[in-house]
Amino acid sequence: MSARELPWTEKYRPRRILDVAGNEEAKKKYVAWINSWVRGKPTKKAALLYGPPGCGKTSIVFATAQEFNWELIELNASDVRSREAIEARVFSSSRTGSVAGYAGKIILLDEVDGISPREDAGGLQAILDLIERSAYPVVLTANDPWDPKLRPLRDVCELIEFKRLGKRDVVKVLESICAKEGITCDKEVLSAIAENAKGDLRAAINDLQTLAAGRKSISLADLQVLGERAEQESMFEVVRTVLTAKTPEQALSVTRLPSLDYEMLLQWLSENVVYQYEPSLQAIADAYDALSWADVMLSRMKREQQWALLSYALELMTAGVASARQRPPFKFVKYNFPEKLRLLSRMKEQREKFRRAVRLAARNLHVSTSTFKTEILPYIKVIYEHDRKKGEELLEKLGVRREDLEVVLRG
Amino acid sequence: MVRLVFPEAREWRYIIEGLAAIVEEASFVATPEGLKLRALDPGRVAMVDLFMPPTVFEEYKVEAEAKIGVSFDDLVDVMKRAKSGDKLVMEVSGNRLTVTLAGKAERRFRLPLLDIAGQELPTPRLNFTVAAKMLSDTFRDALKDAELVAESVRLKAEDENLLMIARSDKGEVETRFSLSEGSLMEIDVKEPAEAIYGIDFLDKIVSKAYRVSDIVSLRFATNMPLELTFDVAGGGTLKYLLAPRVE
Repeated sequence: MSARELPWTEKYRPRRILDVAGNEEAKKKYVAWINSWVRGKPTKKAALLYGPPGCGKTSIVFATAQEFNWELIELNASDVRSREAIEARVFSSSRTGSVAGYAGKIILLDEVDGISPREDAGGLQAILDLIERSAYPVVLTANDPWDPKLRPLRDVCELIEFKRLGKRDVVKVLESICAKEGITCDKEVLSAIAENAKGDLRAAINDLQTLAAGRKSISLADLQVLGERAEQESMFEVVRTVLTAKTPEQALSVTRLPSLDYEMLLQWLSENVVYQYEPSLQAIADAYDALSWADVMLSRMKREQQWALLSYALELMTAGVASARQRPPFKFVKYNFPEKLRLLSRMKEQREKFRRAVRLAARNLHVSTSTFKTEILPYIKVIYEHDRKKGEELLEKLGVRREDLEVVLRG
Repeated sequence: MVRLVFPEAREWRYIIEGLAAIVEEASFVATPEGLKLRALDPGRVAMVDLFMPPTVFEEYKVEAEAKIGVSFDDLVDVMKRAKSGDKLVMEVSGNRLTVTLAGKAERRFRLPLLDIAGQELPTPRLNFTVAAKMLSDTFRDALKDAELVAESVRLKAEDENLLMIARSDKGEVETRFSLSEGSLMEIDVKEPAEAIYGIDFLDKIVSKAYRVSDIVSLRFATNMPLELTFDVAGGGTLKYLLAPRVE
């Protein structure tokens, strides 16, 4: 690979900790931790760097390795990170000197929140063991450090938060890259790139490289090739895009979002279609028609594992809704959280009690719970209406606890 | 175009197995000066360094420097099919490596070439203070003894002796190599030295490479990597560097 083809994010990776953009507070904390290692008395053996993507977590570790002439031992998100893999790749390395002639080592485990407890069996426990026995600093990175499975790691790590970079910091880095690459570029353009990247420096540099491919100057007009970065939008934004789309294609665009929760979207749309499309009954009817079809597709997909149906469900709930007839003109509507979900969560405890009681009763009668619910419980309810004591007594004999009686008789 | 002919395929099998002990995938570099391979194991604990000059080959034709990226798992499987007396022909053209085992019948294996990224590894500059030479079998036996009690061994050189000490809760095993008793063929101690190395890697290396050469040369220094060199008959070397344990 020639140097020209190198991604700029690699080519211009900071070589000194000082050169890592922004995040002064995090850097200070990190340097203090690294220095405690250099002095031979680490405060904590590992550090967990957390924050959104593209804010310098990995770069600072690369810079550390360069600056101290340490060998970087790395295990990426793309590697398997089961217990065996971690043992084979990192364990022996964590207790040996460098064979390639470096002065020391630093161990980087990237994106530990991506370690799957199932596929990477024992991986997290292996990391704990590694931290325990490593003779070198261990750095973990994560986007979301508060994931419950990371709890044991949090306890043994120095936690250092990296924040989204400010626009000024991003522009500064872009400017220096432009200067080194000999590209002329308006500050306005850089600032637009930075704006679009929303604090993700890696994304900004990648965009700059895309724009600069094969030319020496970039103008505002060139920016259009980028399009809006498919960023994680909040559910409010997604719902608004779908319901107020000018064309079905525009509504469909939300299905390309990196982490669209389509089941949640279906609930949100069902809740809010009415507010957006009133007073046009035709539009509301068409939209619900599309949603009901989407729901049919989704349940069929899940029941029969027919994942091919997913694309129909997605198109129906986005483009389908947006192509309803006689949609009223745009108006601003405040969307609500789906009432159904709210209700379900409120009733959760009661449903739980009901299920437990019914299961007990069904077992004592040697029938299935559904048989109990459809063929026996209605009669008990009738009895209860006529003779409260008798009804309660019957249920208690079937093993239903006194405090659950009311739930069963109402449910 | 690269075309290499080696008279005895079996010998190559041992070399390939010796490389496979350390690396899963790596690139041979064929140059007019010879065939080279230098790679680290995935955990970067051991380095292997192979050099085969044109003279060890029956035919050595390399027009321009070429990278031959291979998966060693696959290559070992192919080489295991070599029978004694088979001649080995390796050819690279386009995106394929063709391995021909020519004996009674000519058997041709075509393997895809891998594009292995990674920068050239520099030759580490190390100042060894101890150099010794012994039969590779002797060293292998000592490792097997040490393995009974521990997972790492301490190599210690003083005066004209080399000691291998393994120690754990299970017990202690000590092997003494010396010139006078004949277990050492040569020793040169500039400074007394001692260092600890993991048995797992030592064993992986020696249990394969002892078939390449009867004699192993060791070099090390205090808390420095251990270098094990196996000379290939007719010229050529198979060299390993193993990082020391830090306590």
